[in-house]
Parts: sequence; C-alpha cells; structure tokens
Amino acid sequence: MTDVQLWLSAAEVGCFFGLLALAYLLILEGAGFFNFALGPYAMVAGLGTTWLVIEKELSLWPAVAVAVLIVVALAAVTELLVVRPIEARTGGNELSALVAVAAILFAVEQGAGYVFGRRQLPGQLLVRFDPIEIGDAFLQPSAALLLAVTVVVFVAVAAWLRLGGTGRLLRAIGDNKEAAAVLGLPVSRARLTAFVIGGLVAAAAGLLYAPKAGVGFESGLTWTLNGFLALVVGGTGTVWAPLIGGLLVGGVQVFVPYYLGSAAPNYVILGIALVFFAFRPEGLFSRRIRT
Amino acid sequence: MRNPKRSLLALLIAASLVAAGCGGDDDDGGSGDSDGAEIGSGETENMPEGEPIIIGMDLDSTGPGASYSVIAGQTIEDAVEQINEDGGILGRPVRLVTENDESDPTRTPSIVRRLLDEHDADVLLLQSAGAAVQQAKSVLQEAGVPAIAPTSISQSIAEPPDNDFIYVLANPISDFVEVYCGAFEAADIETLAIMSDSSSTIAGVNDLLLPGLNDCVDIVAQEEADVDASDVNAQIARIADEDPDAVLVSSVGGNFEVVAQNTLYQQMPDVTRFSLASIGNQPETWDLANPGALEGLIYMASIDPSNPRTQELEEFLEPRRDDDWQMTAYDAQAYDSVYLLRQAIEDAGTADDPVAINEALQAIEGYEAHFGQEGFTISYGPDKHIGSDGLCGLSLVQFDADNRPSEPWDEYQPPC
Repeated sequence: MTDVQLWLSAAEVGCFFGLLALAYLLILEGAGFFNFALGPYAMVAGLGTTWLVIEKELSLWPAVAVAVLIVVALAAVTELLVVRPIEARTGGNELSALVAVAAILFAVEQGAGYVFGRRQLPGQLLVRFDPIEIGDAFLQPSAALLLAVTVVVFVAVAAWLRLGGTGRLLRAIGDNKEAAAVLGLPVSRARLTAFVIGGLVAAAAGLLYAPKAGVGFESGLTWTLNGFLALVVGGTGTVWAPLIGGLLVGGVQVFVPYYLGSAAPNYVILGIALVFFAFRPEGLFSRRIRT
Repeated sequence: MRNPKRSLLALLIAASLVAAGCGGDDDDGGSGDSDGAEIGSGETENMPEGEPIIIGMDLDSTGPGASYSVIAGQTIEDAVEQINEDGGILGRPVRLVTENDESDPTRTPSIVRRLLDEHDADVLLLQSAGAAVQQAKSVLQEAGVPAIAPTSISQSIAEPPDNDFIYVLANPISDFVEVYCGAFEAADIETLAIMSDSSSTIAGVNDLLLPGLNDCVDIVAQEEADVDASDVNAQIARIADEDPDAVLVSSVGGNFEVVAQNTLYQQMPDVTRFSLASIGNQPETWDLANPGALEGLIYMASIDPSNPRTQELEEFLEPRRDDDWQMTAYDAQAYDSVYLLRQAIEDAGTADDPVAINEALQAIEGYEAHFGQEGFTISYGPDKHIGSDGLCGLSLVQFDADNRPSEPWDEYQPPC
C-alpha cells in the first residue's frame, strides 16, 4: 500500500464514482427515485463535447456548454416527460417509472451511438499543464482537475443543502414527500430541480473523467452501475457519504487487482454488493432520526 | 423508492428486456448499424447489368473488433465500388450485403447462415474478431461456400478442422513469434512481461503466441484487464515489481491499448515496449494517448510506404477519405481480399458454383499484395489457407514523440 501511483489512481477513480453517486443522492433526496440514466448523462457530456470539437470543429468551451445543456435537457425530459407522467398514471408506482428510466438509459446510449458515432473518442483536456510529480508518481492534469472539482462540488452541494432555500426544500421533501405535499411545498419544482442538478453533477463527472481513457457510447451502463454501487456502499445519511462510497469502491478497483490479481475485483465487488444488500442496505452512513 | 435492491432488480429486468429488444434475431434483421445494408449495386457509368454477384460480409461494426473492422469495412466497400466501375466481375455487377455479429462468437453462426440463406451470398468476407470467425468455420464447411477473413492473424482459423472453405491473408501468429524472438535476441531482451486485454480474441492469440515466446524469453509476468478498463495502474505496478527487460501489450487495440501504453509510459518510462499490430493500424487511437506516451513503442507493422502497390492503393483511397486519413494495413488487407475473390470468381468462370470458386482460390499463386514489403505475395493451395508467402508481410516499426508511427525499428527487421 505504499505505491503513491496506486493511491492517486484510486482517488481519481473514487472521485468519479463519488460524483456519480452524489448525483444519485440528489435525485433521491428530491424525488425519492434512483435515476439510472445518470451514467449515460455523463457519457453524453464527455462524448458530446469531443464530438463537437472534433467533428463540428467547435471551440472547447462552447462545446462543453452545448454538451452540458444537452444533458440538462435530457435530465429535465426524463422527469417531465417520463417519470412524472408514468407515476401520475400508475398512482405513484415508482417501479414502472424505474423500468422506463432504465429504458431511457439504453435509448440515450443508442442515440449517442447514432449521433456521435460508435467509436471511442478521446476526452477533452479542460486544462493543460505538465503532470504533477509526487515522489515517483505522476498526477495527470485531468486527474488533478477531477480531484479539485470533486472537492468543490461536494462542498458547494453540502452548503446548498444546508443553507440554500431550494436545497433545504430538497432535504425537507427527501425526509417526507407526502408531508411536504400536504404542507403545500412545491414538490414538483423540487423534483425537477433535483433531476437538473443531478444531471449537472453527472455531466461534470463525465467531462472530467473522459480524458482518462476516452469515452464511447457504451460507457454509460458501466458508469451507472459504478455510481450506484458507490451510493449503496456510502449510503444516504450525509452528503459526503457518496464520496466515501466512491473512494472505497475506487480503492477496491485499484488495490484488489494489485494484491489478488486481475480477475479478483469483479468477485470482490460482487461480494461487497451482496454484503451491503443483505446486511446494510442503508450503506455506511444512514440518517439518524430522533424519536 | 428507497430500496436499492428493488431498484437494481428493476434495472436488471429492464436491461434484459431492452437487450432482448436490441439484440434482434435472425428473422428480423438482427441489430447493428449496417444489418442487411446493401452497397455496390449503385449507379455508375460503367455499371454492368444482370444478376448481381453477392458478397456477404460479416462486419463487426460494433463490439471489441469494431476498432479495426470499421476501417477494413470501408475499404471493402470502396473496392467493390471500384470493381463495379470497372465493369464488375464476369460482366455482372457486385453487390455487398453486410451483417454485424458485434464480435460475439455466439452470434456468428446465425449471422453467416443469414448471409447465405437470406441474402444468397455467393462468397463471404468475415471481417470480425478472430474468436467470432472461428465459429463460422463449421457453417462454411457445411454450406460449401468460400470465405476470406481479411485481417485475421490467428492461424487456427485457417487450419483443420473445418478449414476447407476459409482463408486468411496476413502473416499468422507463428510468424509474429519468429519476428519477436529475433527482435528480443537482437536487443538482448531476456525477460518479458505480458499485458493483455480479456477479450476472447486475445485469449486465442495468446494461446498461440506465448508458448512460442516462452522458448526465446523468460516470461516473468502476465497481467490482464477488461477490454473496456479505464485504469490498469494495478496491473502495471505488478509488472513493474518483476522488473522485466521488455513489456508486450497483447490487445485488440483501441481504448485498452492506449490506457495500457499511457500507464506503462508513466510507471515504466525506460522499459522497451512492444505491441501487436492493432495500435499501428488505428490512427484514431493515437490521439487518445497522453503526449509522448507512445514514443519508442515498437509494433508489428504490415505496411511499407515504399511498396509501389501500397502507394497505388493509397492514391485510390486518399480522395475518398478525410484530410487526416492515414492508410493502414487493414485497408490494404481488406482491398486485397475483395480482389482475391474477384480473381477466384473470374478464374472459376462462374459465380454460381462455390466449389469451383473455392478450387480457383486454392490455385491462386503469387498475388502481389498491397501490404507488406515490396515483392510480398499471397498464394493459396489445398493445404495452404494462410496466404502470406514468407515474413515479408511484416516489419517492426517504432512510434515517435508525436505519437505517430515513424521509421522501421533499427535494431531488427524480419528477413525478407
């Protein structure tokens, strides 16, 4: 465990998973719903940006803006045109909406393959400087940016949920949706806000992680599952729980193959998922309720 | 809904339903972006009339093999178009019909069967992953229709059993072993580490490659990662712990190769790195690598820019491609595959007798290829289904600091 490069790698992977898990958490708080389309949102942000730069010869930052706007639109459409109508039609049956969102996951993937092409594209470097040397290890610029942005996003979201009006509304609804509705709180607006903010966080994650290994239209499902697992491990008790979960899952993905060989991570992660599902489905950090 | 178990279960159910919906079946055209696509019967000035000769192509335009098959598929389309512009084959137009097995060996038999039964293909091109092409052999044997696997390098494809109707062009893995061993000896490399992707194609390649390499170097580490892995730091750290003289990355190329090379460059900047052929033939992946990360990487090239026939093909393809296009061995092998089929059909004097076409293929001798070094030829025979005549189809080429293939490696080149 003394190889700095492995720790850096675990931190990078963990921050990515943590951001995706945070996006899950935000939507869970505001809508009580697991939005499995988050991975494809992240993919669209990374792949769309590169496609606009390479194929459409758009400058980097306008391309980023367009891709993020597309993701925000996708997130809003998911809530307004899919989840909300289905829940209304089925009397709040979230399972039906969940299956529809899973279908959106694949629709976004295939749509991205159709529009952006089916080959892997490189992620766009948002900053350019020499790799940071840490002992014998190197931190690539894209990784440094991912780490820094992750900290900023988590601090900002924590402050927003604690201090911001909409953030506190989100928490209140997350605590008890039915009571919030009875009290006349704007539940629908909060749900939409949660989907959009969650989409923004997923877009940031995709943009920042894409330079590590490129991004293709099929990246979304893997990212969806990794973010979900990070949330399951970390729990929903605090805004920092997804980051802890992400770092733990990232650590497993990096250190397990080092000590146990290449095939081991799949078994270990499956084992972790089963253990958490069976014995601690609320994750490491669960919310304490005073009685 | 706060129960993650129920939610994940719902996701998995939906995934299964959607996958089933997307996966298609043999009755509805399957899936993929080019299923059943027909080209080459188009309207050109010299377009011959009459019943078309149908070339069926299994092209894995999606899946692990897509990184190289898309390149080859495009050139196959161009070659068919060129043949039609030149009057077709035996005065008949050529039509290319494409299906996609997504590099999935379990889908290949039904895809090939569909090309034969539904599209009435006269001959076949199997531009898919090696493991997938393997699964086509028994179908071809039963149907008695000849097929060429344009970019396959696995000799087991062209070896018994069930090899009477299948052919490959390029130098097989056994030739790779000979060249690598010569290179290791020339560079005083005694210990080697292998970094592989986990695709079934590379598993098959390694089964043929590693026993041969074991005879000339000491393989001190073997690591593997998923073909879509985004991080291989752990695997490379394990390799670094063994301190090998050189590392060979065995992969289908694409994203995996780039991640592996980026990580090797970062963790083991001074080690000599080798690769198979893929990375050199996938120009779109070079920009995925970190700046300078490919510098010094030696790969098995199958193209020599000084070969006049290569230049001739480049002149043909260049106007049909983007400005930043760069010709690869996959282009040349794809092009040659179509022209080998044309020669066989013309020699047979018919496109309607697959057995006669197969016998004509087996009689081809000294076909001057558009890849390899100048003078490199392809010949087939009843017991020779691997086309390459000698090691001239290979060379070792090194990447430069701009992540571009540059000069032939000066320490060793295969004898020609």
